[in-house]
Amino acid sequence: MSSKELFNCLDNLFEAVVIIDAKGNIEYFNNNFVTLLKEPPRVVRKAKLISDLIPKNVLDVMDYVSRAEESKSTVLSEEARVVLAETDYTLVLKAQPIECEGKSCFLISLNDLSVEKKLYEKYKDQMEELKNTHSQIVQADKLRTIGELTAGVSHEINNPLTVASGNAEIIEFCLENENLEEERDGLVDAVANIKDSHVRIQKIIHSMKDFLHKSEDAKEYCNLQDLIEKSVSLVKRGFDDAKAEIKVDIQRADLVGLVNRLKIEQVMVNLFKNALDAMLEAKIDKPSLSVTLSHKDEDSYMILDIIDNGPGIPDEIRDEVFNTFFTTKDAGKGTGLGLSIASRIIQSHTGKLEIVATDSGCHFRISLPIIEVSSFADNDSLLDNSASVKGKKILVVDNEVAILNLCKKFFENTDYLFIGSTSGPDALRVLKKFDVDLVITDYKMPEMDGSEFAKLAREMGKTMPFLYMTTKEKVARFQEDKEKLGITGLILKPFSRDEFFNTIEQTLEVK
Amino acid sequence: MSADWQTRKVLVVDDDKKICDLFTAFIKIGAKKISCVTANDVTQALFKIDNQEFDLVFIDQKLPSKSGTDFIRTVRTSMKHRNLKIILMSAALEKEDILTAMEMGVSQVMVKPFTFAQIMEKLKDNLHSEEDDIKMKKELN
Repeated sequence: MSSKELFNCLDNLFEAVVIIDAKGNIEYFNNNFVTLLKEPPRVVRKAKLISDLIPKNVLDVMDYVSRAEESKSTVLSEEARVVLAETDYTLVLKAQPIECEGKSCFLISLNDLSVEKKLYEKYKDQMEELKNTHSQIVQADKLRTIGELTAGVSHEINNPLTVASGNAEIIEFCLENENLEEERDGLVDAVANIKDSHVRIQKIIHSMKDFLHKSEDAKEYCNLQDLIEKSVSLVKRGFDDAKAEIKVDIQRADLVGLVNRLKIEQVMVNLFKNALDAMLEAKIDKPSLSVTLSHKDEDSYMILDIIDNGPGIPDEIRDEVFNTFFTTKDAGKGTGLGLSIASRIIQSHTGKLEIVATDSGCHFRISLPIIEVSSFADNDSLLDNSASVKGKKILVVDNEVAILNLCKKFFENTDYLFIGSTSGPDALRVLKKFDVDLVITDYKMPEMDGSEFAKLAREMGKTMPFLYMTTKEKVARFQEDKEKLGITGLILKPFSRDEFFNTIEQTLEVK
Repeated sequence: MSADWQTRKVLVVDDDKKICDLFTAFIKIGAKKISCVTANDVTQALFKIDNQEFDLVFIDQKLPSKSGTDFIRTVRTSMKHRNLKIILMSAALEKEDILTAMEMGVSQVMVKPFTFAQIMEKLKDNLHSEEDDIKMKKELN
């Protein structure tokens, strides 16, 4: 291609192009280069050096040229904000070594991204706006739920309130009698009633507060039966009012999950209320909801089945129900956020929320990993590769949820990685899959005591140090097992944080 | 007329036993002669009004299985109880609820929590005869 043909081509380009030699002398510029500079063509034509048109302090073109010369390849600048001819540009500069009429030159193209930049900013603003709207809707949805709950709760509170104030009045009447001894029984009763009402109100407010304070609380070990019963109690009034039945069947009472209690409660309340709404809308004769908690050993999952005898979910929308804003309710009655949020919450627990196909009614199933699995999931780094983890891995076995939660708190922000387990058999399953650096076990546990657990672990060929965590009464057992099973030490309950870590550090150092 | 007094009978229906106890205690203090019978649900209440004469019924709106309004609906369809005075109690009565209750033939509505004085006033309003008034005032003083 001749230079003339090339220049013809370049004149028609959308980009501003200028060709200069290695010293910065202008050989050629296209039409859009003139447009970019906003100078009359004759002024541009008069200029000899590129720096006459684009000052070095604005954009150092020669810097890119020398870099292109050095590397003998195209050099691309970063996106830069440049003020040229009193106009704000967002430019990208490209310097490309070329041969032009036998001379080695550089083709400089300036790409003006101002329009794209503006579009991008507009897009960013709109995204921001959308996000805000979304969070507002989520908030509105929350408030609606609160509103519904409040109506039920106000009734619950008013009864004990009436009893309390009424009994206060009774006390007043009793006190009017000059012979107080005669009124003794009445007074005692009234005081007991007031106290009892106080406790009732406190309980209601507590559960209400818990529900409202959906802070991003960290996960804790909780007994799932308690969790289910609490959630049921939150919706019980609604079911009673609608003359609907709610049956709870706990097949294993000792199931413990590492969960965000409030979020899981939120999910359950949502599913219960959805079921009730669906059954009422379909005018089912005897509306009934069954909630079953079971455990799948082989899969290491616990299963919560929520089954109603309502109209069920038609096949054609089954895939859609978890979508944000999908709702079958009338406008104003539901935002369609419930299930999508619920599903996200369960996913954040490495669990699954699904619809099980059934002939009649609707069957939701929540699967949550048993606590050992979720302990691992909670320590993100463990998921990647347990071998690369810097901290020591410590397995704590205790059937008491409170102790596990305490230990979890202790280990927060330390270099140790904490894995909790509620029973010997479960802990053995963990040991089968992973090596840990230290095992701390409660001695008195229902399924398998500390000695048995330690014995089985040793039989598996595990040699890590073992600590018994127990009360003074069991010290004798420790002395016995010390040699036999290689139990390294003892943590006496109750213990302080310092005592706890001192023992752990000593044990790990000796090793 | 004083014989009338002895037969004045009030039925209190609430699933919260403590509320029933409170009524009994209030009536014992403020209007000793009125006998107070309690029931914990609509079925019990219907059984009691069929077998005893009552002059006034206090019934809670929210009750297990059948509600206070269900009770009123049933009662108003029977010839025997068409004129029975009924006071509907509830924790949170909306304007609409009150209107529906009134349409169904409830005598009065009462919002919880209530006080001793309110109960006495309701009793006086609904069981009044001049003689009773005098007696009740005496009791109150």
